[in-house]
Amino acid sequence: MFCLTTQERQVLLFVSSLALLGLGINFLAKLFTRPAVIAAIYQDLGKVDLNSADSALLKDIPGIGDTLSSRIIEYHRENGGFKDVEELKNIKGISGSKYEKIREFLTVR
Amino acid sequence: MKRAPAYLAVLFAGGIIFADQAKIPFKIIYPAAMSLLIISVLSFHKNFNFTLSLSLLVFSLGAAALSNSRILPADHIVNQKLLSKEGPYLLKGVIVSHPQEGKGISTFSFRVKGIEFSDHVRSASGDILVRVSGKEEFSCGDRLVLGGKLYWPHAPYNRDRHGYGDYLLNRGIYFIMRANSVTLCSGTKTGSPFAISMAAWRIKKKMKEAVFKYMPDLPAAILNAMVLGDKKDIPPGIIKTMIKSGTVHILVVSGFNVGIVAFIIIVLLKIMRVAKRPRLVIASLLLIFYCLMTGASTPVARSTVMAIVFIIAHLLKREPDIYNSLGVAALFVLGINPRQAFDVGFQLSFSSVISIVCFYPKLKGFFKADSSRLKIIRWALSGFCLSLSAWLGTAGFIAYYFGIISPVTIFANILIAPLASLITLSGFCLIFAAFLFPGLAPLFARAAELAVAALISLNSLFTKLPFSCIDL
Repeated sequence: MFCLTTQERQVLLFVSSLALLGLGINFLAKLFTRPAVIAAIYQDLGKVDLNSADSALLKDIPGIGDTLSSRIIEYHRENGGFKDVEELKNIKGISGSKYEKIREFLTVR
Repeated sequence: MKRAPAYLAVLFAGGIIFADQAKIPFKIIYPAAMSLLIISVLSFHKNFNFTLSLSLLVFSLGAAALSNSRILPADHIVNQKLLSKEGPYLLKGVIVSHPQEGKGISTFSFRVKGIEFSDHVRSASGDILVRVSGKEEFSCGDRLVLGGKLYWPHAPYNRDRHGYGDYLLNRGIYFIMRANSVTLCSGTKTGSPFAISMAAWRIKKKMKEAVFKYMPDLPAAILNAMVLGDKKDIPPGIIKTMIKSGTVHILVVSGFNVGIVAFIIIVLLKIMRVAKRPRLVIASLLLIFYCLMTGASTPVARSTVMAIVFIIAHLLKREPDIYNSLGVAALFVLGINPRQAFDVGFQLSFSSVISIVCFYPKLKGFFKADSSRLKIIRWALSGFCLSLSAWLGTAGFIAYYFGIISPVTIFANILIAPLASLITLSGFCLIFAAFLFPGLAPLFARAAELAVAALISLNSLFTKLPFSCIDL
């Protein structure tokens, strides 16, 4: 048997309670921690969003004129929006070289 | 019972081993521990009931501590499902260990705070081991953005705890990264919680420079390992032969070094006529600083806690007990990281001390070490008994982990341990002289160099003896 004094017993119980409390808090903290987005990286900052751009905004892009901007707006209306910038290739008048030229100014969000 | 701390440490360690084997979830152990705490409070005045419930409470605390240490939060790097995708990754975080430098590679523990994905940075936690090529200098507390591939060094919770991965796992490290790009974030060191550790690391670096300034590379590398705990510069061949002869323990900072440091500090303060109480308090603080300087490995942490327990006992005019101080040291180490119970360093460090304390006096009596008239025979017999008692405690672990039995260890340590003491002492003298009396430093350097040469020759001689090392 330990034959501990009252003070020693109090100290042991106090330390054990603290350890138990600490373990509980640590466990709860882990349980409720969720990965959170702490910063967004806009690699497409300054690019024109194909799903929200109007004709005037599209016409600001070098290589897109009145005809092409109206075809893009029409494609957007008919297909319910763009899923990828690459869908531009389906529009009449946007060939491989044209696509390569304008794609760096466009994005889909 | 006079040895309550030692008894409680055994129960706490027993709880850890039980939790490892039984794999009882934390959600079951924790309420059980809470119930035991309530029972202990209720049976406060009943000696037997209180002792029993307190014992079970400490046992369950050990089990709960291990079980909790294995629960990883949702934002932990392991739970981010990184391995399902191709790297490399960009990780934000902070260096939490002193970088080890060797062969043009810096190695350090890195606490991850965020992971960069293609369009966002996600919060993260957990430690990884980072290896960076090049001569860039880092220090503990530096905030970095690292780019590189992560790899998994082990299978998680492997039953066979022999691998490097398990060694890392016991230290809470889950990935290794070979960093290709490193960006130091500016303005990060002010008010850092690592300030003391960083100061310790800077002083250690200056000491290392002093050792290498006055000595050739090989003896300097060995001295550096023995005094400052940094064995990266020692050629692998030397380490291999010392493992075979069972004397590799002298290449790490251990309780012996802590003892020497404590002795030097106390003597210096005594010469400066500092009163006894402040002297012991200052010695304790400087021992903690030395522990941080050498990387706070398990043997150093153990011996630092033991030394401080002895000093406190002295200050309180209580008789120090080696088992109790060992118990407090074990509770301290396991309380911080319960997985240390499965670490070979922890097991060897504690088993050797327990074995020496248990067997050394009995073996001395058995071999009648003190009854010889010749001083040299008394010394040799005492050394033999000490070496044999340490070997008895550690041979099983060495056979299990390293697959060797080295009977030559018992004889090798009789000569090599005193030589190591000489090297350590001359190493400390060299470092002190290099800063205070540079003119004297070469003298200590030559003495240390000679002792290191003798150490290497003796070690080589012992490993060449027949049956010096048996492979299992």
